[in-house]
Amino acid sequence: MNILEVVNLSKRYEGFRLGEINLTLPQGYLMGVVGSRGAGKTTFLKALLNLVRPDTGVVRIFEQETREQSVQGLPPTIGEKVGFTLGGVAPYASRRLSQITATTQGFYPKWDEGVYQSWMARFGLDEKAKLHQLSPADQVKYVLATSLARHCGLIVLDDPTRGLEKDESTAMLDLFRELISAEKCSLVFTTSQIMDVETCADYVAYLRRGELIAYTSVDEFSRSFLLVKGRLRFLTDELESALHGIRVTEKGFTGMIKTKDEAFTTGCQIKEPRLEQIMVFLERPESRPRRAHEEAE
Amino acid sequence: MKALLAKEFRLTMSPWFLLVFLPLGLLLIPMWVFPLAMAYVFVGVMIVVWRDRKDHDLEFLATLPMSFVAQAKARAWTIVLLELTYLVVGMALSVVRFFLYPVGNYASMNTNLAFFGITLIMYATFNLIFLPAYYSRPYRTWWPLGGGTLIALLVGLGLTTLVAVLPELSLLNDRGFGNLGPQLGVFAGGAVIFILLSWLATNQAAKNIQKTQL
Repeated sequence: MNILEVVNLSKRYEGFRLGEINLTLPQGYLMGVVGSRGAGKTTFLKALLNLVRPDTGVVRIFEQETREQSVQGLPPTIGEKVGFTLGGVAPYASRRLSQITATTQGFYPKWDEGVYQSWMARFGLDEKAKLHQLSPADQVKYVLATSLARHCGLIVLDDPTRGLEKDESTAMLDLFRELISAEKCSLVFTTSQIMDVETCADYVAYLRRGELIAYTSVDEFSRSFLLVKGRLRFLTDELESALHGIRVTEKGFTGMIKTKDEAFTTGCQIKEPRLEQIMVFLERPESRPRRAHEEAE
Repeated sequence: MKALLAKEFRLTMSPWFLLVFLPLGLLLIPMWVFPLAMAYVFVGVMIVVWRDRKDHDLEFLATLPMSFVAQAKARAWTIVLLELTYLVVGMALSVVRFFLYPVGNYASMNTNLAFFGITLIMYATFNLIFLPAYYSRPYRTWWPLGGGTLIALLVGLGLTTLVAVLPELSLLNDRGFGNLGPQLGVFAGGAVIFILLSWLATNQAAKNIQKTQL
C-alpha cells in the first residue's frame, strides 16, 4: 500500500513555482526531501498537508484524498494518523510539556499513554520542562513521542536536523530508521544536507527552485547522474543544455548530467559522482560558455 | 469541540489572564462612564489574539485532527464565553454598587438591567466586526481589534448617553430595579441581538478561515 501518493502537484507564488510533482511512498519507508534554502521543501510539505491550496494536483494519504472541498488542513480521519512539524516552529514553546500533552491527547481517542511515557523515558524528556528549554533535537523527539503515542502511520518532519551537531544529527537519523522498523510507520523529512538521506532514507526527492529534479531510491539517485569533463570542442548544444552546474575554463568544462543523457557525452570523460558532489553541481551557479556568435556581438 | 475549548482554557489563557477582570472594579467607584469599564473585555480578546501570534497557535491547530471551521467556532465561543463571564461579574458588582451608593450615576447611565442589555449590543457589535475580519487574515490584528473596539464603543457610549440624556428614556435609567418591565425588555432585546449577531459572526468567521493558507 502507498502511504503517500502525489499526482501533478503544483503551487505558484509570485516569483516561485513548485512542481509539478509526482511521487509515491510505500508503507514502512523513509523519504528524504532534499534541497537548498528556498527550494520549496516547506511549501511542498504544506501542500502535502493541505495547509496551502495547490493550483493543480492531488495528494492521497492512506489512499484518501487530502482535500475536502475548500477546507484547509488534513481531514480529521487522515489527520489523526499523521504527526508533523513545520518550518522549525515550536508552538506554545513557553508551556510545559505536560500542559501541551494534556491538551493534545484530548484530541486522540486512541492515545496510548503507556507508549508515550515509554518514549519520553527513552528520550530522557522531563514533562515539567518547557518546550523552549529543550534542545532542537529534544524538541523533535517530543514530537516523535506524541506521534508514536497516537500510533501515527505517517510522520512528517520539516528540517529535523537543523541546528544539530554532527553526532546528534546521526543519532537522530538512526532513530528514524529504528522507528519505522519498530513502529511500522512511514516518515518524510526535509533537509538541506544530502548526506542525511544517505544515512537513513530509502527514497530521495530532490527539489531545486521548486522543480523535482529526481525522485528515486537513494542507491539509484547517485547512479542517475554522471560527472562530465571534457575539452570545449566536445561541448555540443545538446550537452550544454543537459548539463547541471557547468563550469567553463579556457582548458575545458565540467558539469553533471543525468545518466539518461549519457549519449551526449561523446569524447568526454565521465564518472559516477559521490552523493555530496551531486548537490554541489545541482546547486552551484552556472558559468555558461560564451559562443563565437556571442563574442562577435 | 470539547477538546478545542479545553485547549483554549489550558493553553491560550494563563492564570494571569484573570487580571483582565480587574478593571470591572471601576463599577464600584461612585460615578463614571461605565460602558468603558465593560469594554475592558476587549483588552482580554486582544491579549488572546496577540498570544496566538507569539505562541504560533495556528501552526499548533494545523497539527490537530480538527477542521479549521471547528477551530474558528471554538475560538468564537471562547470569546462569547469571556464576554458573558464579564457581563455576569459586572452585574454582580452592580448589585453591590446598588447597596453601596444611595444616589445614581450623574456621569452616564446607571448600571441597571437596561445598561447590561446595551452592553450585550456593544459586545454583539464587536463580535460582528472582529470575528470575520480576524479570520480573513489571521495574525493581522490591528484592524479587527481596533475597528471592532472603536465601533462597539461608539455604539455602547452612544446608546447609554441617549438613555442618560433624553427625558423620554429616563425610565430606563433607574439606579436599581424601578421600571423593571422596560429594563427587562431592553435586556432581552440585547440578548437576542447578541445571540443573533454572534451567530452570524461565527459562521462568517468559519467561512473566512477556509480561505486561510499557512
